[in-house]
Amino acid sequence: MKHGSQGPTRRSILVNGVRLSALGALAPHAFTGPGRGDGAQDDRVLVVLQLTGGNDGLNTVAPHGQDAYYRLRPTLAHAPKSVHRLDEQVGLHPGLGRLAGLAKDGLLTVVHGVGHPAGDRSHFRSLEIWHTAEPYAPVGRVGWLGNLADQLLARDPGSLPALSVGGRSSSLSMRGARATPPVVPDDRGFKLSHVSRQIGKERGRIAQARAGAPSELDFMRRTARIAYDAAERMSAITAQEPAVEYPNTSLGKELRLVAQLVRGGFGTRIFHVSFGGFDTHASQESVHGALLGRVDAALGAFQRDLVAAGLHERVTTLVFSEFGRRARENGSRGTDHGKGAPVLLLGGALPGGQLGRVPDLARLDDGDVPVDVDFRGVYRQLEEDWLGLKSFSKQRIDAPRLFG
Amino acid sequence: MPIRPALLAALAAAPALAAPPQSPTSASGTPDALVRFAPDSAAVWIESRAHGPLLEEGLEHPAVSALLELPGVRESLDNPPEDVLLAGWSLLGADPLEVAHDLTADGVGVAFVLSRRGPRPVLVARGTSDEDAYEDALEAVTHALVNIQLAKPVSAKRCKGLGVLEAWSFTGTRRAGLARVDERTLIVAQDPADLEDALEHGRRGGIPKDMVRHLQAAAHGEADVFAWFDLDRFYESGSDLDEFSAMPWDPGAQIFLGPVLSHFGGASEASVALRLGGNAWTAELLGTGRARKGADVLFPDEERADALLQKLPSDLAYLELHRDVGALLANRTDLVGARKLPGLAEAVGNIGLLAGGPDAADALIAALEPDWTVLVHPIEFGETPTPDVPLPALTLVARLADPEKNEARFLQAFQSGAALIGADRAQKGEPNVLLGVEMMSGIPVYKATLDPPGEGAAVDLAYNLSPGCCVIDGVAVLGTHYRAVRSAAERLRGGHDHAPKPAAPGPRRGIDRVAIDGPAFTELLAQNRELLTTRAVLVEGKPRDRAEAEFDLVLALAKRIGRIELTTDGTVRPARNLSARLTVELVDR
Amino acid sequence: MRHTSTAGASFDAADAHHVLRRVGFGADADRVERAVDEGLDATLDQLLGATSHDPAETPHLFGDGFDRILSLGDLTALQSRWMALLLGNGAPLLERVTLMWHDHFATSNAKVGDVRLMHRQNELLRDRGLGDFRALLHAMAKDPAMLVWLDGNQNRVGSPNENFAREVMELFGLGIEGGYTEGDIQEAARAFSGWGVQGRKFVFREEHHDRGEKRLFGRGGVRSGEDAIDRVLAHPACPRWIARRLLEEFVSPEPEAELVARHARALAADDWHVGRAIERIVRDPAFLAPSARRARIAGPVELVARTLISTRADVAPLDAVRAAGVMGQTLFLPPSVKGWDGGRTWIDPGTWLARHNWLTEFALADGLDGSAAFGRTDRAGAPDAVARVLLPDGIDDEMRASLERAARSAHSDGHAVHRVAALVLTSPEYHLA
Repeated sequence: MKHGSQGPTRRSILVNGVRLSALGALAPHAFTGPGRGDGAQDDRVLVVLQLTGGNDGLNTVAPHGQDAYYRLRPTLAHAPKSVHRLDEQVGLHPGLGRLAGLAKDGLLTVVHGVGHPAGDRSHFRSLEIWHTAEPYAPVGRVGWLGNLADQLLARDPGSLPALSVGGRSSSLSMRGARATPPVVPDDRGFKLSHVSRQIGKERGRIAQARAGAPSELDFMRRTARIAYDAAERMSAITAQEPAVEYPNTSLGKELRLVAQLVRGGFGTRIFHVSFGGFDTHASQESVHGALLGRVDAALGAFQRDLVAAGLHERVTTLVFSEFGRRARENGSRGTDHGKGAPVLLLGGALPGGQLGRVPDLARLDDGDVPVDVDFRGVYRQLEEDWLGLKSFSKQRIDAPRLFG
Repeated sequence: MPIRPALLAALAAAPALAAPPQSPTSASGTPDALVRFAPDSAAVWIESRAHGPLLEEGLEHPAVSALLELPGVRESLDNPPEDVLLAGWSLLGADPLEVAHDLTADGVGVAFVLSRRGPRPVLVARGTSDEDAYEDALEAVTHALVNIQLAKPVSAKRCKGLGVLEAWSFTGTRRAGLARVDERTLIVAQDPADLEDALEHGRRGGIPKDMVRHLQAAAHGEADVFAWFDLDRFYESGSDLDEFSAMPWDPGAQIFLGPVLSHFGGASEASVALRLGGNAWTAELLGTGRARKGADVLFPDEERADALLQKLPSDLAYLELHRDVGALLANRTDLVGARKLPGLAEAVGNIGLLAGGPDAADALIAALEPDWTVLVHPIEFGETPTPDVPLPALTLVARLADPEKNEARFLQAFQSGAALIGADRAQKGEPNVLLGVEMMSGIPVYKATLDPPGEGAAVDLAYNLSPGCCVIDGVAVLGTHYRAVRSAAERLRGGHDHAPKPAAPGPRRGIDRVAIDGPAFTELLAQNRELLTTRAVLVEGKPRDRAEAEFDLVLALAKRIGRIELTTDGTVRPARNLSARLTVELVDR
Repeated sequence: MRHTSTAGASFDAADAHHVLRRVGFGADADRVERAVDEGLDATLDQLLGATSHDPAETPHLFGDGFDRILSLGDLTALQSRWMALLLGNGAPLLERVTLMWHDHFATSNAKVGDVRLMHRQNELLRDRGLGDFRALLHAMAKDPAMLVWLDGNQNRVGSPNENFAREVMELFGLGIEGGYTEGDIQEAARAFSGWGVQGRKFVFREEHHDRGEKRLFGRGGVRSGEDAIDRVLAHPACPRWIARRLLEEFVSPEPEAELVARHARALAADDWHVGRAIERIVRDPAFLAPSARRARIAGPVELVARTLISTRADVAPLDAVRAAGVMGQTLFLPPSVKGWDGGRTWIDPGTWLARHNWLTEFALADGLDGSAAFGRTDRAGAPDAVARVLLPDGIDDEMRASLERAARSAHSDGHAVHRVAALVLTSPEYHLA
């Protein structure tokens, strides 16, 4: 696909107000610049959903086939009948019906026992470790997704390779050495103020590049042009109603925007979304159920939307949390900070089913689900095998095979 | 701008000694009630007879002149009101207030039709029975509209087709106008469809079925202003009422507003009837609609215990509330929305931490019987340091279920809670919490106080909290200040406060009753003028002079209040039928 | 008073604007004109001399009245107060330096959670920020908000917390390449053990203090936390780090090594006096050199304050606080102990749109009074009238052409001024300081 023909085509279609989604499949990366590579992986998208607070892995993917599960969790364990069975050993939380449906269609992949090897139980430090893919040394300033954004930006200097959706500030994982992926603060996407229309003709001209400009000025002009272009394109894209109904929750709206941008050919390759409240030390059952219910509704709609648009093989979604929770429930019908937990991956490019070993609750690591798979092994495959970029972690760490 | 003539007509008046207009609610039964011209699709109907005196006295009306005299009010207006009236005069060739009066003397109502572009008003006005005066007024307005090319007359033929005496259409495309439907009734609409709808409805007569009960109940047919809302239409139109309709599923709203007020959220219809008497203003709220299954456990039985204490003159406020938190928790999966469940679980979990486990939290909450008395009254500090911003104390009095078992549980939770908070504060290096107990005729009153702040250090808001707790004759007393707890306990012990039991089951006294003492409240407000105005400047971003003017306006209004009383009553089964009555008793300045 | 100009003979509006923009938060048309009339030295004298506020002007921001507001525990009040002091422009250098130190010793109320402590730290920065840096560092080490922020209460003999010790080297005193080791951090942490907070005051808990001798930077002899700070101050990297910080703030984001070395030597030789160090910097030829002009990207607080001050706009301080927040800088809530990264990280497409949207709302909808800011002008004169106030260094031909087109197609002269202002305010040039 020649990039030179895309620009004018897109513009004329915008002007005529024709549905953009039809174009989405044809022009997956409208944001192309000169000199970018034309590899087959250039239209693949990675979505990372962070469940902040330490999601209880054992009650998300419940090992209902093990007696130890019921001994460790006398009040919190899901009854064998209530879970959505993946097989005779494990089943999904009763509130994850839509994800169970996706599992049947082979669109959900579970990797058991993932975590970081440092054994730190602090939220703050664990998130730093996941964000920077570095379990031991003091925290650096660049995150693993930021590193990917840097590489994409180097190929295509005028692009917006990564976006955080929702929230006020970007997470450490998104910070690059050069790239500063912006935050789209609300679910309606970037927008220009209403009154900006009064200077609509000139605002872009004022930010045009001029030869011989000082570098700071040149940088700002470039950023301004990218911003105006992004806002105009996002407004056009978000004006299209999604084909699938999303739940009216923050997560639902944020994922709806991600899907709109992917379908609309916005060109961003990496999306970061987070959803919090998983630090369930007390009365876990109702809280955790409500939270997972929202995750299920939002992710279910998101994945169905991608399938409907034929994009499910182009988008891989990683769902992780900074740590799992302890195997034994505490005295307040909650659970405390633990270690290993499953990560969930969604998308049609993945094998589907379960990878890694189901944790054996008779053999715990100091009362915790052990870390069987180093999270950096999952990252590496997403970085190299999925996006075709260089991995951030210098060590080559293996994990169950996700692609190919 | 088609709304402008409507406003012109609605504003203002003249001293014609016609018979007083009928109250919108008493007139509703008569066939020529204004409401019959409300379009079928109207979601709101507001009708007034209170505008009469305003139009008659104009700027001389005491309320208007008082408002204009307040500092900053005049400055905030784009044009002085005298100039506005003068401009109207030169436009109409007559006193605009007099014209408005003659056009609306026998009542004025506005309906709103919801649309994607916002609500569209339809105005219905019935003028004075003085025919000459009415003709003059109508001519003044229509002439002016034609002169400034806002409207043009409609041909007699078309008027006939529409079934009206005469009409003027607004200039511009798809704009309706004014239609005179009989000798002294005028309809002003923005949209032709609304106008046709209004005329059609007027021909058919009758009152919207859902409104009838509201009209009948409202202020015994004597309302000065009556407003009716078809809430179902709002929900359907996609108006942003999510918070409102979610109230009955929000435990915070249930506890704060109580069963009646929270169930106004999600009601199908609601109305407000205002009566503006010389020494009291009342507002009657009515909400009707679908039943809410299961929620009747939050409402009291017919047989209810008496209030434990009565209001003393020194109380700033006195509240009798029915809050069955135990029933709410017991039925939380049915009564609490999924969105609010995590928050509720967390709150119960936190109480559980204080009370020793999640079961203990449920048991502790269920131990409080649902009929609560809450007293609000000022504290004389002295035993504890006077805070920089002193606040009144809140004291909750409620019977304990199964006091044998629950008394110890309750007292223990208070002490362990205070100890836990103290440990947390110590961790942060904040002043220590001291636990204490004092005996009051053999009954222990537990208290928790803060170590006094250092010499010259600020006395924080936290020093308003010196909580206390005791159980006396099976009645739990819990308050933000132990001195207030002690005095409530003394009153309970004295026994003289118990209300006399009615000999036979009398009329229900409502579900919630709130009484607020105006002068005491005003006093508190006045004491904090500097604080509150500075806060408005820094925290709300208002200019200083405006913040002060607004405060003084509120204070001036508050000074006229002798007492505020709110009572609620109702049920959600077999259908939702809710009422609330707010009375504001006025005093002379 | 000195009368010889350090910048040579001429001192024009662009020079005056540069001085007022860098030492303070910009100035309106009259102030720039006065500065041109009076010359560089007199202007600098005035700016360097105005280092205190007059409480009588805004009594509600000082004393008991404000103290009672603090009782309510609302951070917004504190943010508004600071912005009001900034916009009041009574002591521009003082506020610029206070903002610089707030970034340098970045402390966030998100963790401290006590507006009184944040207020006290803010006042400490104001009281000491232009004085002896050594005293400032010692005071900050014992500042209760800082101790809560960097876990002072958790640093005890036997279970050290290195948080403060690390930052006193990496961020506050020496810089990340300051030539210290992990071992130095551990030793310093021992020296600070027992430093904590009790009842909003610094407290030294003897029983939690590690009484042994500590070795710092290869030498023993350190016992107390005070000793450790003195040792940091005596390290050769310290004056360089502080001088660099000042040069970044006042001259350019990448000051030359020779310039840093020169001002570092002078700083240490002159009793570490920050105010006089700034005076030396702004009187250095490097300050007015072409390479220093419009060399920094303005941060949100600076940008919003400069916009409101130079256009004489009457906008509630709270609105200014919020505007800066949306652009990525919320006072008292820096993102981490490293403060705001600043420079190019201020600008990404998201934050650029936040700037664009606020500035266009300000210019075209609510806030800007065109004739108060730029004087009366017709549409033909609008580009020059606006640029004279907002971009007196001059505008290039492309920008002029855009401004003229926008002015010509406006529906009135007044509208032309507001349109031109919106374009200038949202031009990338304007966001350079």
